[in-house]
Amino acid sequence: MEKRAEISLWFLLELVAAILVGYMAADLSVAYAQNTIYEKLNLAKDFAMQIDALSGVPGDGYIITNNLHGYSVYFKDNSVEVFDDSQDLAKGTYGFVKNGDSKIDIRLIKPKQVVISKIDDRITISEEIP
Amino acid sequence: MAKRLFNKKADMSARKMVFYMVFSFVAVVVFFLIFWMFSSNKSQIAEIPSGFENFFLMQRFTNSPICFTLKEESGRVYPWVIDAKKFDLSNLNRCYDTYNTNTKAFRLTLTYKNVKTTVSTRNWEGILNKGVTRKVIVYQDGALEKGELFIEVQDAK
Repeated sequence: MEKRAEISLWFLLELVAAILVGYMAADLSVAYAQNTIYEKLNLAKDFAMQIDALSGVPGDGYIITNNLHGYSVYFKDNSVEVFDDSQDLAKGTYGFVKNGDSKIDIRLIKPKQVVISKIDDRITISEEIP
Repeated sequence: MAKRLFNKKADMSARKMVFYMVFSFVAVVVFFLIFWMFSSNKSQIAEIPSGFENFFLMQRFTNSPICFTLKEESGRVYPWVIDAKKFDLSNLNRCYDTYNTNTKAFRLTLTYKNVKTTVSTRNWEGILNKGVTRKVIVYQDGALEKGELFIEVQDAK
């Protein structure tokens, strides 16, 4: 009886592992085939470039991005992630260089727009114009 | 009979053990390979011309008052005018914060009159780099001098 239970448990573990690996492979393949990975990576690079560009502006300013294709965005420290949902395996990720006074840690779930602004030498990110 | 069964079971367990060891190693390698290919900034899928990105990153050295640009008490900023007092390592690390990030490294050399000062970002280390010289004005003790800012760039590792 114990032996049968042990065999079933191993089979279950193997099944779960196989499903997980299969799901990952399928998800990445779909992302690749539908070009969504390109969109996400391009968006991430756009955001990173916007932050870098604003950091080099002498005064205040802001940049609005509203063509987000329904993706969510996560800005944390020195990088930005663009993704469908938190389980998304094919996230678009890119790094930027913030200045020392800016504290960046914001997650925007499927926002209508993203506003990156520089006010008083600090970079802030929000969904509305500050 | 009992001995035979025991041996067979032990044999199966050993084979399973080897299988899981190999499988777990391969799975971890594949997992990191996929993440490196798709989530890493080393991906070549959507390439930005390196000169274009460098240009945006360099702008802060000549335009931003957080870096070295002269800023009056009134708040007025003078782009391309370098305040000699601000040209040091602490200001550079403050305006170009490379902590915990994999990004381009810079080394800056400011030359004016007979003074030559060099500062570099925390992540500066290698030998492969490109350089560009920018003509700037240097502000020191109330006087303005012509100077040069030599900016060297090193790609992210």
